[in-house]
Amino acid sequence: MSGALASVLTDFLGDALDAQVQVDAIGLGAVFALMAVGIGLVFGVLRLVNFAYGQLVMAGGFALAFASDRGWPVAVGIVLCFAVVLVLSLAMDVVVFRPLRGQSPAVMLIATFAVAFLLQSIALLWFGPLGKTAASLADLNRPVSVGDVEIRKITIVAIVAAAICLGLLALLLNRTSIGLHMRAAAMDFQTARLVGVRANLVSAAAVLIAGVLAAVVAVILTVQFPTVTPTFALRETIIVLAGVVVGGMNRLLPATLGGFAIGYVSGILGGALPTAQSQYLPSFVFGLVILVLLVRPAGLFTRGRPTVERV
Amino acid sequence: MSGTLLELEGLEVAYGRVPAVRGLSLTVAAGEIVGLIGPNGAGKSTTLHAVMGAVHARRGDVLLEGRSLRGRSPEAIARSGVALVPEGRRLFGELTVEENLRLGLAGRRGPRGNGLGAVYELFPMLSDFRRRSAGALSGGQQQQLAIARALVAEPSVLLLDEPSLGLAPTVVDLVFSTLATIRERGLGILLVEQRAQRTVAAADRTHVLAHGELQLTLTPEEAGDTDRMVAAYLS
Repeated sequence: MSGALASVLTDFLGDALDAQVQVDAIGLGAVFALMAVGIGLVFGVLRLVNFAYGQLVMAGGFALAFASDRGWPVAVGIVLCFAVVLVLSLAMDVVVFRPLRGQSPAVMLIATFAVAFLLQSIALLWFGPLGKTAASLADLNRPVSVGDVEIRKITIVAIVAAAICLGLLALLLNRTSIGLHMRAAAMDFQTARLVGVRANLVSAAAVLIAGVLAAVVAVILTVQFPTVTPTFALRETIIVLAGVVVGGMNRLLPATLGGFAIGYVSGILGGALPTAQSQYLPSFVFGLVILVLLVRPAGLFTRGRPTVERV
Repeated sequence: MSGTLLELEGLEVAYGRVPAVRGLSLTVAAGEIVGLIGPNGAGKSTTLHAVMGAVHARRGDVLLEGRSLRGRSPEAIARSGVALVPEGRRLFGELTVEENLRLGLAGRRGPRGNGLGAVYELFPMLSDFRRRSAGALSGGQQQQLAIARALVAEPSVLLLDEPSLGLAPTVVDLVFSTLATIRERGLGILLVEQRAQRTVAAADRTHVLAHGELQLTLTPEEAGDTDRMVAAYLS
């Protein structure tokens, strides 16, 4: 019995440490990290868990599918994807988030639930339950060989895009006035307003940056999963939300690391679990989430002291 | 009144059905320090927050150089020339001293430029510690930073909410001497304080507030008249 268990564990570790699995897991972690930043940034400034974040990604996916359907050039599809996601983000901020500023977290959470299901229902009406296919960027699914490892181009694109986006965001937050205002608003919104920081501006900036990241994620995910349905990116959003909480929601860096970690672990488990047991992947992932929350309820990557900064 | 910067006209504020400020009227002119003292819960801090638009005024008006501030957002009021040094300083502890000061630029009406030289001149200590986290400063240094952050905005009116709270006596001296320097630059100062005699002596006039109502106004010459002050506190 113990010999069989040792054999299963050895096989699992062997598969988990496989370079192919590692690269794919890092690629998934990169995409989830981008989503985590989008969710964490909005939470930091607005104190609002945006459950509708996945529907922004879905809308971007449908924009790409729409352009692909009509045979428009890839660049036009990507521009349309960014435009749709950013307009929706701004509309969400102006119509829902701003009027509800200062309301209880429960009210704001339910409001984002309502927005999420509204957008999902609209997508269902317009595109049907089977959705549409975004095939323009399918070439990025082709692999390139790096030594013995076959890496899909989209995995490389995801890792590079995440690194660039996170680097640019760090520069924006640390080197610009609007970044400073966003960090201050995340620490103490009321005091930030009292010194002259424009609440609407920092709120719109956070929502728009999160929107840009959602559009990038939409492009990457539609390459990996070309069929865009009304529930597109919903599962990923739930996993990333769990990752953000596991990492530490009160700060942007732990939230990002949480997003990356849950993506990486999902990738490793997905690659190492025997095919017959792959349906248990979510159970393993969320079992780990519960375990981590029991041991580190304040977050896996937060330091052991009360947090002040939220961005 | 000529030179009047800030004017409160019959200001009334309530928290739910509980009145906090009742019909308060006062003025602050350029180069003046006006004190506001009174027991805990008298409505002093509420008055400052009502001026800043952080709490809603039920009745009355707040005028800055003749223009009403009612209904404007806190950031719009901060950008129109009123700066608040809040109780407890409310610094951004994880930001550096310089970042806290740069935040003050958000409230500046004119060109922002470099803009920190004047406050570094007034508080040389801040220049030495510009890269240090604000949270790592001592209480006195933090108070200087809080005042400096407000001054960076180049306001015409400065509101201070208990700036001497929790400070050592030597630091309190420094705070009051700084206020005298700021007054000489032509700013109007509305000072909420618990140190009653010290405030009456330093201010051009000091209003005693109790139960949200103005009870008494004292001049510096009356700083020793503790009987009247106590009677007003207990009224």
